[in-house]
Amino acid sequence: MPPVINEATCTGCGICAHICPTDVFNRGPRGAIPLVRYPDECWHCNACLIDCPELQFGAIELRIPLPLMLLHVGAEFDAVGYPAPRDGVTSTASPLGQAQPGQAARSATPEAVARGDGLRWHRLPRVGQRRSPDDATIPLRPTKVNGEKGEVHHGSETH
Amino acid sequence: MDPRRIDCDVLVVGGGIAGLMAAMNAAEHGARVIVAEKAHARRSGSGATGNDHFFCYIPEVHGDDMSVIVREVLDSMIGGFHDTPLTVKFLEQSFDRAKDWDQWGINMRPTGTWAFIGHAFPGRPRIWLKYAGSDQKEVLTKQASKRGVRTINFLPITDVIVEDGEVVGAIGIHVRKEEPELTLIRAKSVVLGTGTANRLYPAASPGFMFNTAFCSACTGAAQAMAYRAGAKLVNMEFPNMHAGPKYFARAGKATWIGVVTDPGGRPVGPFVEKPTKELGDITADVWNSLFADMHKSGRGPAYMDCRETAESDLEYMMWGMKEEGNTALIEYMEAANIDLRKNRVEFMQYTPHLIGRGVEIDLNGESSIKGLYAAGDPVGNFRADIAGAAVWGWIAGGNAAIRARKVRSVGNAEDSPLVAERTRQFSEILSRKNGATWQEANFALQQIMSDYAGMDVRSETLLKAGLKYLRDLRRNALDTLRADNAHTLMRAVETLDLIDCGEAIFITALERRETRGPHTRSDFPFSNPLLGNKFLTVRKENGGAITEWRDKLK
Repeated sequence: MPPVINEATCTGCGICAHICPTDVFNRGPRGAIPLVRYPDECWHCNACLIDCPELQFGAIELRIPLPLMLLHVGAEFDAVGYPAPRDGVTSTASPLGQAQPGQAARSATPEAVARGDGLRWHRLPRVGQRRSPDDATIPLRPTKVNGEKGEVHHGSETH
Repeated sequence: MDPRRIDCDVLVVGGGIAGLMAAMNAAEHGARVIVAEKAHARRSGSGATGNDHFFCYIPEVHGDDMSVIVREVLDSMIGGFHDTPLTVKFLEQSFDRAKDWDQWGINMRPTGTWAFIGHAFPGRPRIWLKYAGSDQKEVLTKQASKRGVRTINFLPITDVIVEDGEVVGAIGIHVRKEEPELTLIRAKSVVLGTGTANRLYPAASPGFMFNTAFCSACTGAAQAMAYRAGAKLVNMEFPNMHAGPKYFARAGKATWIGVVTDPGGRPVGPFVEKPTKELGDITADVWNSLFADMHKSGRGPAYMDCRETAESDLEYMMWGMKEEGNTALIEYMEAANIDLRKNRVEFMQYTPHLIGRGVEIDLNGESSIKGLYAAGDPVGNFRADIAGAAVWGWIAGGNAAIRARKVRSVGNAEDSPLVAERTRQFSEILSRKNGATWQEANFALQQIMSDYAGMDVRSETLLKAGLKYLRDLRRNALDTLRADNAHTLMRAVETLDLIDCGEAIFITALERRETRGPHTRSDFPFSNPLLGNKFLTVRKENGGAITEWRDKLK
């Protein structure tokens, strides 16, 4: 359910629609904002985000559907049968703490080579970070985004 | 639908790892090569957004005795169904392909050395080269293009055309536009590299058919079209099950560095107590049904437990997941504030898909049909995932080009009755106003596969009933399927391919009257030593299916 396009920052380049391995998008004419036409067919591979030239402006995001909201965590029991505290669920930590923008280093320090090789994960770069659920009021009705740049196209494609 | 027509020497079906490698080597042998890719080759197939482990034999790392590494692969999770001569040939060439990739710009030495990490037994050699493959498809498509390979994206191939036992071409449906176009390709050799077969069994979560570990647009096209063309399939009766995060089937377990633990936090397997990146926990590779067994027995859930994993190894693991192409998972964990230092993650066993089960190849990568080659995941008598696709793609492509040189002219594929038959079928599907969607047919297939050729129990009566229902489903599907555009026609054809894969599974599962590995026959609940070294093949002849036993090659 997968990719969600932000019409305010999508430029309609069409790359996501062309490279999607499962053909989730409608490939419209150049300049048109792609339509997420077959959301049930998303494989959650993130290719559309990885290749989006406007990702840093939040032009596309991946929405994980409810059944996949995994990581059935926090139900562990301790040795005497009581549920373990759900620490991580209420913490603000990322899976591994603070990832930095940039590329993974090819060279590493001797200590790092000895253990983790100094290779780190860096999240895909975005200027506007995801809003955490409790830092703003939640409108009951979604507001129209500004700066629409193209129409969602439903017909056959031309490029 | 009037077919467009294209001629080439070598047609490569599928622009994944195997297909691109086959195309490149065929082009280096001077062939005119076309890659027909269902999606867009830059990001298609199970390797679309990366991989991080490449099975490889490097004498300077492993020593000169290759037999040690042969043993290691045969004992591993990918080792059950190999004709060993294929394994040996693969190992001999694996380092050359790794070096090619490194030279082309895929980072095969992210730490500066050839490092073998993870997926290993304590005290045994490690065979998986850890690499950074997140841009592998971009590199390979550029390299293919540099060698003059012509890639036609959005062109899924539906059939190979065979005349007098030799391949002469293929049929495809161009799906780039709303309106599909039938395409006829005349070729002297065809290499099948269409990946795994997913969507055969119910997915990890009900109703989410595309929630699969491997690419959900890979639907057994190679196995199905080879089978229909009369080529032998092998080892189809053995289900292959993957495992990974519960209900989120993207990628799997390979890159996780943790210990599999029970609800009380005790390690389930005997191999490691404190996970390291060198070893991880290989328990689930050996005990393939671990997560399902734990759950069904009530002793579950079983968890991937990274709480004892060193901080630097956790960083390394997340880096590996990114290179593996699993960024959706790690970004989700971050967004959901899941902290692997504190939270264990429940794992599950996924339902079967076809990988390393399918087209039987020889030492040239050729199937039992002359001029028809296969490489990568759809091969049935060898498996080594990404590296297997790279090495055997390369071998098959080279031999396909050599064969094409010997064939004087392309045959008259357009005269094949198959072209008329498929044109009629596809036109009917497109012209029906009412009828079954492809999803209906696919779900119907999944319930038959799960209930009658499942992983828990199989028996003669269940399998016979299931095969009957499957054939009814095929007939009903052909009579009622409707599609309103190129995309849904493509999905309908995928579903028909999956039904053919299912038929081969039923027929071979009936014939193997024993329990072996994940093939569980309740009416033959033992392994028959007389069948221990036997492979079972199935092929079509005159409309019927013929099964044959042969010795596994040592």
